[in-house]
Amino acid sequence: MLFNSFEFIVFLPIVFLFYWFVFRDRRWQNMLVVVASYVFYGWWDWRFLLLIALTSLCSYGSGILLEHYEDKRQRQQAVSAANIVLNLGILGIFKYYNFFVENLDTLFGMMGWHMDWVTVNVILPVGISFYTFQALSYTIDVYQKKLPATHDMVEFFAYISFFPQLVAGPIERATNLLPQFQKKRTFDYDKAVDGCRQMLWGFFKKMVIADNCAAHVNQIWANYQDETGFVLLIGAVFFTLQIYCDFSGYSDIAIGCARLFGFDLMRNFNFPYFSRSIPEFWRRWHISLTTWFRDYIYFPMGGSRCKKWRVIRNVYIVWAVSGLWHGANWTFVCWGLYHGTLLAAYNLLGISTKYKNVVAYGHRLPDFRESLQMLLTFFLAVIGWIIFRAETITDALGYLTTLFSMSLFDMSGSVESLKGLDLRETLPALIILFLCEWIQRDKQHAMQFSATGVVVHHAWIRYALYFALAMITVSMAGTQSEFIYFQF
Amino acid sequence: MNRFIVKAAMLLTVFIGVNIVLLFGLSENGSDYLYEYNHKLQLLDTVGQPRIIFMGGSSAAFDNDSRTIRDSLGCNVINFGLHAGIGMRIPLEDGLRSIRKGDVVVVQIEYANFFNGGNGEPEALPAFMTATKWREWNRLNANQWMKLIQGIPRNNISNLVHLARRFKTGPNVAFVYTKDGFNEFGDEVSHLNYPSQKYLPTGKKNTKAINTDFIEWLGHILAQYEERGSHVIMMPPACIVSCFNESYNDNVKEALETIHYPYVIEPSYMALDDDYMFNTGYHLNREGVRKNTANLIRVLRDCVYGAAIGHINTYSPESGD
Repeated sequence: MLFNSFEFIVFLPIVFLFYWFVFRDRRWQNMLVVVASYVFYGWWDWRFLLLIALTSLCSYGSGILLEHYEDKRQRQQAVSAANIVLNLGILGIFKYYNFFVENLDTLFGMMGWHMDWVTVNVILPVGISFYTFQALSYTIDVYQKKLPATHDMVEFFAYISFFPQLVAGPIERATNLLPQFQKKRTFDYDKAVDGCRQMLWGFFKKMVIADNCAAHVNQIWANYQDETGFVLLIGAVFFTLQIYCDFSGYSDIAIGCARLFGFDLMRNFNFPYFSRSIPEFWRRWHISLTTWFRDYIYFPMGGSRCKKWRVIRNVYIVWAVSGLWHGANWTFVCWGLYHGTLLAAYNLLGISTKYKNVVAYGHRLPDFRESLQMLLTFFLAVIGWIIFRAETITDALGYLTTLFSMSLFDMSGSVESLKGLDLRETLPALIILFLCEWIQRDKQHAMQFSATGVVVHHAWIRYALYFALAMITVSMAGTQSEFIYFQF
Repeated sequence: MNRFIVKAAMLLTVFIGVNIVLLFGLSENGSDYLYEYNHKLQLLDTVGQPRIIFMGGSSAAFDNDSRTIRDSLGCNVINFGLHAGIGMRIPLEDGLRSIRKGDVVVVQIEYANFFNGGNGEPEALPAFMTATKWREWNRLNANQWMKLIQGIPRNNISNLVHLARRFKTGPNVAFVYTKDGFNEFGDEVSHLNYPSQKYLPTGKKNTKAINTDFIEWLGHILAQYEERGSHVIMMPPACIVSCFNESYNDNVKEALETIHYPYVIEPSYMALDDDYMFNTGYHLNREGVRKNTANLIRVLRDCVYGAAIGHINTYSPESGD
């Protein structure tokens, strides 16, 4: 079930009313969360439910076993390793098997060996990478004794399948989300209202900006060989905005929706395009995944507390894996390595941990230096997204070659091409996005109102704002489409 | 909790209320493109036989030259095509009521209908219902209601924009969709006076599954057309090659064969070079209309004369308009 669908508009109030009015007991509420989440997920394809149930069951069982073998470290290692292998095995079969087989076939073919490989024809279950990582987080945390194993199967199943964040994150840690299922929830009016505001902003980003940008991006990418460099630059910028609004829009809806049920999910985006460096960008983009890789791969390999060359190696490994996590395609691996290279460069320059504060804090506008830094970071991110968006490496190179050709300065041809895109709705919406996000850049989300601000003290302004945003969102909505990150 | 529910309900009520007030309270834009539907209904009731009726979306409206077809085939022509956004269910149901024995019905369905169920789109349904004075609102199915409701805020905003534009003076230099752009046959002809606009196809092939419910419904309603003595010709819509590559997939052809209304020609035959495009993949410019009309005449001559509906060439001006 898509957030931006009619079904969800009906589904959410029903679950909400049952949750707070009918099932007031914590255990029953957890049970309702499981049932609602399975309905939500099964709406795509009921067969997906078998897989998520298997993942949940195995991870739940592994937790019990880890506790059972408390003093037997070797057995604990075997249990956690078995569960990790099982989960990654499922992910591998559904997501990567054909990719590896095709590449091995090409490799052996080049060496003159021809082998009969079997490929599997399966659909990729929506959001499999997200819930697999969430399950792994539980096993590793229990193994590392950061968290006691849970014996309540319902609450564990609810943790893995919690519908707001099931298919595209934020990837929750067991240490954050599971304890919330273990204690009684009470309805918090302010939290629920703030959640609704965040959802509204998320819908605006997804339905108005991402879906409208998607139409322009598809048009430009489909004909990129015939377009000028300037048009390709516009296409790349549109994709940069599309992917941000699509994914952060989903996260906003997910976090807001969870707040309606009394849960606090971790922040996933922190206005990343206002970053002054690539390391800062990655502290603000898909935070739940970046910190997952940091905690479970980068730190165990030594992180930054080792020799320089090992730090660089660690960065490359993490980013190659991160690229592969996004999809079984060399373009994603290259995108990961591209960012790995940038991060390694910043690391070598010793500025990777700079800029942890909010840009131009206390000022209306950034200064010249900050503006240039933000522009450079945005430009580097745009280049990365070109590689990410391309279907093949050849496409990515072709797009980049034309982009950086002399046609970048061909304004007359570009204007003619851009007339083919109907930007009348997209451009005003982008202005609203940038203005709101810039003004609110020190908040949790763009619709979080300051306690001393004029909006909080004048209800009519607030309601006019909700009304206007809802009208814009419904009336300017592009073609209903899935969220980009579902495929990952 | 109660405070939250009451406020949420109030906000929702205000949102719905304001939209209803705007929907029915704003002065109607009587020159809206979709008002042409009323004229087309009138044509179905008044134009004499023998006649050929083109059923479809804006592809039929923009791409056919009915006068030339009439002069070549010697029978009256009604162009009942208007807008793919209203779907195919409503026009085909309305057409069935006015169909007469001996009518030749050329059905040119834009490919999107085969995948979205032919129920129309939120962008067009509210304006269409307003244009037709909510006539027979009770025949809409659940899917159409859903799309209609979804499209109401958008429709209201565009009415407000239209209202604001009334204060703008000066001639229109760009093409505008309006009911005044149609001729007496129901062809959109005003676009022929404008140069082609730039259009970028998306290049994304439509791989969706065919909507079997729509196919079943289509077979059923076309059978009713034939029961009433009309002759149905299933013809692919005209479009440009890029649009054809994106919108058409072979499943359409197979699906039509299952209901025994196969295309009378290969769909690719109706796809013209991109140079013939006007402003979308389905709208042709002056040259495109000329070429498409020649294609239509060629195919219809084969179908109509070949199918032994001999009385059609007995057309005489007296039985015409």
